[in-house]
Amino acid sequence: MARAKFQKIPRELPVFLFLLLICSAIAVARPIFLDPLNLRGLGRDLSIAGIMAVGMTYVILTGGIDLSVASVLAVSSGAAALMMLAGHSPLLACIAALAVGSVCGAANGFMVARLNIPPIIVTLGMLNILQAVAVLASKAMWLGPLPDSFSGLGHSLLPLAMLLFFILGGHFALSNTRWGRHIYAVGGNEEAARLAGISVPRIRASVYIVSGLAAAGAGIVMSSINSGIQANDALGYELTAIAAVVIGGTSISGGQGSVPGSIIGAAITIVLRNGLVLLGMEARWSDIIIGVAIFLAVAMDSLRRRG
Amino acid sequence: MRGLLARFLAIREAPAGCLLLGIFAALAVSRPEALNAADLLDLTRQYAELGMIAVGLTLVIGTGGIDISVGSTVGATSVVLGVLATRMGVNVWLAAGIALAVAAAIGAFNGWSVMRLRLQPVVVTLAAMSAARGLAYVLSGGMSMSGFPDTFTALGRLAPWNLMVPVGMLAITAVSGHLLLCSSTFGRGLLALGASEEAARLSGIAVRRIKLMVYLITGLLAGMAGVMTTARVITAVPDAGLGYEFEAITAVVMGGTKLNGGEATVIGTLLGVATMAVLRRWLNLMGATDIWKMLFLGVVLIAAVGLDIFRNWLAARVKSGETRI
Repeated sequence: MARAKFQKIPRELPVFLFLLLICSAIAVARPIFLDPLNLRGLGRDLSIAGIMAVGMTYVILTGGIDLSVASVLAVSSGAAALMMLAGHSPLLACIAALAVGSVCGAANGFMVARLNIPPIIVTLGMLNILQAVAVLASKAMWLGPLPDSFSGLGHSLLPLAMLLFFILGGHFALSNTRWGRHIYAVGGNEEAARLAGISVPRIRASVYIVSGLAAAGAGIVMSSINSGIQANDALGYELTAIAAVVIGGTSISGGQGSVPGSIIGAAITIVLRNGLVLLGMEARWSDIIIGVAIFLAVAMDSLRRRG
Repeated sequence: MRGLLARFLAIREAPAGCLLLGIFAALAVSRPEALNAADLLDLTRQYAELGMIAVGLTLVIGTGGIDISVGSTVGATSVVLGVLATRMGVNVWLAAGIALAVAAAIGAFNGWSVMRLRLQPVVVTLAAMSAARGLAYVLSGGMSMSGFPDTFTALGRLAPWNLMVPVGMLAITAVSGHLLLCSSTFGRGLLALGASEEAARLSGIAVRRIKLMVYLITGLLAGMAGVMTTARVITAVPDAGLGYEFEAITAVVMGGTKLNGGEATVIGTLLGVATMAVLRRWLNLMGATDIWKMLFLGVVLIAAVGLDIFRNWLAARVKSGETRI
């Protein structure tokens, strides 16, 4: 009885309480944390990391992993910036960025699902290939400043609106569509899903396209905030996205997890990093803390599964 | 004819061997002056460290696991050694010993998490990769450190041809790795575990001990590589070993070790490392910038695994007689 009750508690609740705990701890230690300027900065960081985490949630739900997201971001937003600098309209450039992102994702998906190459190899290779493409295409230069009509958006509500769009769309598709349920089914038990008539390769390929789209979306937000983009701006963001997803309670072996959990996870990584800066610690401490947080999250998940 | 092809396909090391010969040939044709002894010896010296890591990784991948923390372990080892020996005045050999202990601890942590908590190797070693690199930066304050005693830096330039220590270490690692894999109960158990964990466990193989050991060995080898790198470049840098995991994994899978576990070859891995070394040398000589190398090596990684999958597919077809030659 007690056990059944325990299982009714949403998986996201403990993580959310943890987020509240660290927020209040930092706010008490450094009241400047609640300063509107600081909160606005947090909102921008969260919108970039959160959008990427939504895409990563889809991939990890199928039991895959996508290490190439930072490079996809660099390539897609680099393409958009080049178009804007050449005088094309920002809207067209953003559509192009999303197209580039989904093509990169489709390439990942094709190699994973059709050629059966393990996701870690495919996306590790693509991480290098796309990063190189981004550097070559931009001649290793900062691409900016972008037109005011575009970069002004970064300081409006666009980042949060984009984040909200990805959260709602991502969550709705996962929980209310046949495709979303199939993603859970494939991640939970691939063989059972296949026998139930689900086209497993198609589902496995589709999640990488979502991840590519999300990376492009995050790139649009990032370049509008910074009014430009450089190929290595997002280096290492794959780690933040993966950390957000596993901290948010998505099981790394697939089949269990949710978009809201990943957003809470993303908020935790962002707040922790901000807290370190406010406390005047070496910024690289965040690498250590994120490593520890990833480990604790997966260890707790494993213990919960074995119950 | 079919017998010949089937026999060729059955040799795991064949693709790497052919690739190595091919690149050597390309090098000989396009830049014949590059094929001199001094250059090749220098290349060997530089790649001995990667070779040691790749041998350890061969064992890990043989069990069906993976370790992407090796590059960060090199960095952490180098920095611990540097901080102790150059900033705190600890005896350099003692410092090297402590640094090796840190590396072994990272390996043991990975192994313990995989064995005891049954966590996924990718995520555990990803966490370790992030934490160890962070540790290297925090301890060093992001600075490089030099001022090691001559007795230590001499490690990197012992006669003959500065090769004594790096090549000696690589040779010892490779021979013991090969013997361990092919002629010991441990090695047979390791491959059985990689092929089917459940079957291995039911046949009484000490599955958990093997898992712990392979990560521990790999951590220790990465630590030795860290010490050797520090001696070779006579500086300790937090960036040491950046990207080694990528090159080592490429070398291992190119050499014919199966990424899902169950089949592994140390000889193939050495061929893979040699291929990577010659490939980089060739790209350097062709005037390729780092960016082009990055692009090229990304393609090579995916192609190496794709080729292995294709080889297995072809071998299965030849065996079942579906392909006519």
